[in-house]
Amino acid sequence: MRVVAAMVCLALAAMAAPPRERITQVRIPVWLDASPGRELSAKDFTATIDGASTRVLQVQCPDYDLVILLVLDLSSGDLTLADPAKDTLTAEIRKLPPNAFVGLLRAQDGLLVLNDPTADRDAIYTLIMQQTLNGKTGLLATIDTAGQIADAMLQKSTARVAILYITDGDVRNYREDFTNPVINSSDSHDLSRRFPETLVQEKIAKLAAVLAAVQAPIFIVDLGQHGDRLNEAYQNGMKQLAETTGGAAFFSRSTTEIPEVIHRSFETVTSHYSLTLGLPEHVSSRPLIRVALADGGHALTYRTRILLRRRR
Amino acid sequence: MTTLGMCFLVAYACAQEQPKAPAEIQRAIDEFKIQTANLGLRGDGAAQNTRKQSPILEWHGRLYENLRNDFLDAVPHEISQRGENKSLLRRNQFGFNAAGPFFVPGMVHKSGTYLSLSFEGVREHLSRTHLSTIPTMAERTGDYSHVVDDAGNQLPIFDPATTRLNPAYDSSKPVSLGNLQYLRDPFPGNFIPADRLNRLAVQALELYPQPNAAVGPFFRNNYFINSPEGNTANGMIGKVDHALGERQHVTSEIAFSNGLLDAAQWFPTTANPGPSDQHFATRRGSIEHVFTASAQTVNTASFEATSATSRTGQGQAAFPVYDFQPYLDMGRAYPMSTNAHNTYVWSDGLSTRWRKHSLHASAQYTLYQVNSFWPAYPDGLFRFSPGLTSLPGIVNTGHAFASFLLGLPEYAEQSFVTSPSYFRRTAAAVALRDHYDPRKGLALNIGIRIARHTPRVEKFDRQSTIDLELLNPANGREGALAAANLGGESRGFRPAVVRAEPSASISWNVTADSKTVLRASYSRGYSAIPIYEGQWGTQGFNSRETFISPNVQLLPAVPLTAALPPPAHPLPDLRLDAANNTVADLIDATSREPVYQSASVSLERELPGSMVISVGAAYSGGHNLLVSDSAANPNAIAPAALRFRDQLNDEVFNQSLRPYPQYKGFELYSSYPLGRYQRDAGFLRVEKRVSKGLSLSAYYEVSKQMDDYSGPYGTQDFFNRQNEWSLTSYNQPQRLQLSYNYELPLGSNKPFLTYSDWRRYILDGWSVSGTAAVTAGTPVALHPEFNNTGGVISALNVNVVPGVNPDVSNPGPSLWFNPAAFEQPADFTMGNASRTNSTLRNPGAQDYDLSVSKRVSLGAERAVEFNAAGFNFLNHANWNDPDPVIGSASAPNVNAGHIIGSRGGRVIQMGLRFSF
Repeated sequence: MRVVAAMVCLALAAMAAPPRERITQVRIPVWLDASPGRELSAKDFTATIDGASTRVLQVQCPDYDLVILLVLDLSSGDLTLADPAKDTLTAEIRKLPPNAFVGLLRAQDGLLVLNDPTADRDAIYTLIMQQTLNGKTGLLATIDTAGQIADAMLQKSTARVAILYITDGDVRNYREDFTNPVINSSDSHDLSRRFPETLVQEKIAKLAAVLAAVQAPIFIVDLGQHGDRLNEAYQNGMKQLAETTGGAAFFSRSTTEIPEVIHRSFETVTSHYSLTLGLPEHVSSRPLIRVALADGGHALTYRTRILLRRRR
Repeated sequence: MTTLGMCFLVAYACAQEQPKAPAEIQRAIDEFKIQTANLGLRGDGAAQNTRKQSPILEWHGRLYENLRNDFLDAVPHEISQRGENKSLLRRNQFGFNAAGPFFVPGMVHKSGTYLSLSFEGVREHLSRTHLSTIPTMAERTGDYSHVVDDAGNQLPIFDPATTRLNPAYDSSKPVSLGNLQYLRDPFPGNFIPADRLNRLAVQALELYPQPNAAVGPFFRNNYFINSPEGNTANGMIGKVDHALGERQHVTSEIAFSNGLLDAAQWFPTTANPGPSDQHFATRRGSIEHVFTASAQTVNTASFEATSATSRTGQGQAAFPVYDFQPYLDMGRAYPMSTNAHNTYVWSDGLSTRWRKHSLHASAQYTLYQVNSFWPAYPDGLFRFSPGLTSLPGIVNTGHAFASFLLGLPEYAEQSFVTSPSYFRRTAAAVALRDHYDPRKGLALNIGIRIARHTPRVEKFDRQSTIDLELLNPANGREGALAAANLGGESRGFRPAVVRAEPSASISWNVTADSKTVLRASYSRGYSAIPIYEGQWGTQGFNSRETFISPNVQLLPAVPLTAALPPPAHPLPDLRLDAANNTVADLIDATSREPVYQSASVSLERELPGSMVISVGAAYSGGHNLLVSDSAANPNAIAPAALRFRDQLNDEVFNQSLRPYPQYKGFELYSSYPLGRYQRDAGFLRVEKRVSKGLSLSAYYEVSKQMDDYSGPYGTQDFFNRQNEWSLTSYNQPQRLQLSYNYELPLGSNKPFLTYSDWRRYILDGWSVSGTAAVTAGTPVALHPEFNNTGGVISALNVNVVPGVNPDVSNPGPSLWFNPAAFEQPADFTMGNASRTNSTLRNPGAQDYDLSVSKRVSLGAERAVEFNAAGFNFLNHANWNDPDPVIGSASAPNVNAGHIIGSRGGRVIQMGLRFSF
């Protein structure tokens, strides 16, 4: 009996989590509806957390250092989508200021680094143009990991960090099944598939719960033009995931729109302010955030909730 | 060298020259390298301290159970209206899915192979309902004293044994009550004496149920069926996905399913006319190989094999079919069958880029096999009509069931099938598509597909048709039986055809902000004639012994007996005249195939608030569409022959008027390419992407579809198809569909009731989804009660009464339309109304489904989701269609324009799913 008790105690001790570090500050992306015409600093912003006034510790403006983690998720094999996207991506990257670095990853069949963040536009150009369009769609399988990497970078550096997914995938092209296919074709009374979006919504909900703690904004450009109900739910899910992190999703409805939506996504990524907010000692795990300009001159866009998950 | 290796080589070479990163960026890059190395995401060999996550943790899946029980449901309207309060429903649908990387503990950790396995089982018992009419108990004894016509007047039954020529008949005048060609006495008291009743008929009636309802009018709709049906199914889908290096990807799938439909019995005797029990088995296997030759070139090759088998009526007791409309039949057609559909598809597609062109070339070859053993009437069919108990030439006299009681069928048939048929056909196609971007904001697509279809053949050439050019030895006229691959006939009787199918589309961003897109498209395509189940086109190898009354008002086809005579000639019987005097199977020998073309234009605009609105118009049309023998009849008698009036009831004379008089008719089996249709539609679509938890999509369409073949009754004039051009019988001129999803703004990361304690388990994860569909009604297809055209017109239309408004002020179940606006055409004339009415519509339909879900998170990967779905959750009753039968002036159908009851009822399904 004692042996068992000792083993249980040992097991519990082994399972016991190490003490967690209290989070003292968070970073959130903020957009102004128009250029303020001057450099903004921390004192230009006011913020409240759960209704209590809090300090804005730092502000990184749109001309500050920026790292974009560009994640390619091109799996449809459709050159009419991928080629204009590649052309536009490389053109937009060349337009970035010198202090904007781009890291390149691919998401098909799992996340993989293709190039560390670099300011070398030619290198990124070459790699993007070489990217093949194979494998299974990977956005939903990799987005939490990408968020985790970007968050770690934010913790170590004051540089602004953003994730930009470029995807052309169909929700039916995942290795994991979100389609709930008919298994018994003789079952003519099956009503369980009348709401086909259930599985993808469930996956989105799980991911949104994880991404709620991610401080780096995630942006998604969807090149696919799918009008079916399942893919509509998938696209709504992408939008929800991006907005959970304070980012945004962009959808192309025809190949002619691809250059425009990618251009808009780069504009949005590069134009964000990164605000570091101090956290009060006692704060809820999902505090309500309010930010405003001290002079009230501009409308701001930002995330209003963040999950404070203590770090190990 | 791999692509990935090249990537890093390029990256390394470039890194030697790149400018030094600012300090903060460098710190971010360093952390990026550490994190990606720890997660094992680097392909450059820099993986250090890689976190070794067990592959079992990468497996995801779900377990689920969906439950339905009549305890949760509303009693369907059609059942409560019959005074019942229960509709049996017990349903369990359960299953699992698991998917993850392949590994062998301690041996294979990361194989690049991903597996997925799904299983689902169904156990179900439910009720089937049906309202029909059966003879009263008195009627079964020959007592017709109470039997009335549709107007409520007594229906006189005449004794065929008293038939004699009328010496006063004036052949220069039409047959009428005042100028009868034949005299026949009514049964005294409208009572058929017991000693006149056919012994077999009386015996058979012991297997017929008693009336159990009194819906009316009169004694009609007196049998309500609420019978249990069982449904069992088990199926599985397995998938393997494997990356062969960086350039090749293989996906394979295997699926199988077995099912048993324990069909509802319409009555529990061997004479049950309801469907047979059915066993199902489906098998599917596929493999796809994707080869990425370069960033600009992708090749996809695939093979798929599918097999679906169904078996019915095994071990079922024999019973012939007794057809005495308008009463419920006894016995069932096609009581026993085995059918298998096998399809094999090979395909390859190559995509490549050349300047501003994206080119896609593809090739596909498909082999279709249908193996069928499906005798229609192995125990015989006996069809009875009022003619033999009527006053010859006078409608609304006599009754089909009275003819049955006397054992006097007007038609009889028996199938002799010696072996299954093994039908085959192939389709091959090559296609080339070019996507061209001439300038920013403009994209053009053009494509051409060349398809080759071969006709249906039978593996052992046990196939036949009527060759309309062969001379028949019996009468020297064209049209004789021809067997495949014999006497100069080809194996499929039709040529293989090669068609070009063009398509083009354009997308144009009409404004500089890319928020407005104009789209237009056009396509034209051909459809091969498919292989249906059944053994149509095997006459001579199998036999359809046919017995036709020489005059449906005077003489039966055969006496009602226990068994029909066997074929006079042993099978196979391939004599040129072997199919004479039957409804012969005819395979169209031309190269015609259904042709479809469509064009559409739409304008799409992105609006503030994550909304997209689209408005557009679409046209589609086609000709040579496949129709059945109710819409086409190459052996029809021209309507001009109606002038022969009652003489047409003489079968010999009648048949002599046909283009191929050696045949009673042709069976076309929905494979005759003659139909035409056109559909014009306008639509509006509003889509709101998710914001504040709400997403919705709405679609409204207004359409008009015309054709010359659809409808429940068939075509009136086979010789002038333009006269048949009317609204498509299933055209719903307006359709509104709405779907939405709303995540309730409660709980974590939501505006309201955000708690971190135990309350979040209650408040988090609620969502509501729903769909709504509202459709306008289909056109009313009116039908005269009597068809006294001597078999010249098979589907008679009604006449329009000039100056009478067919609409009523407040259409409802008591009167949906004004039947006085229509009338029964005079004997031996065609109706002047269209096949479907141009203004009258049947009641529309509404359906509202709602699903409420509550998700409880059990960590990052695990969750339990409870779901309650209400189908037709408002318990809305959709009206049945009104009675479309228009009676004669002397016997109007009192029920015309009335609606009997409604249908539908709320169904609730509860679901529980654990996902991991």
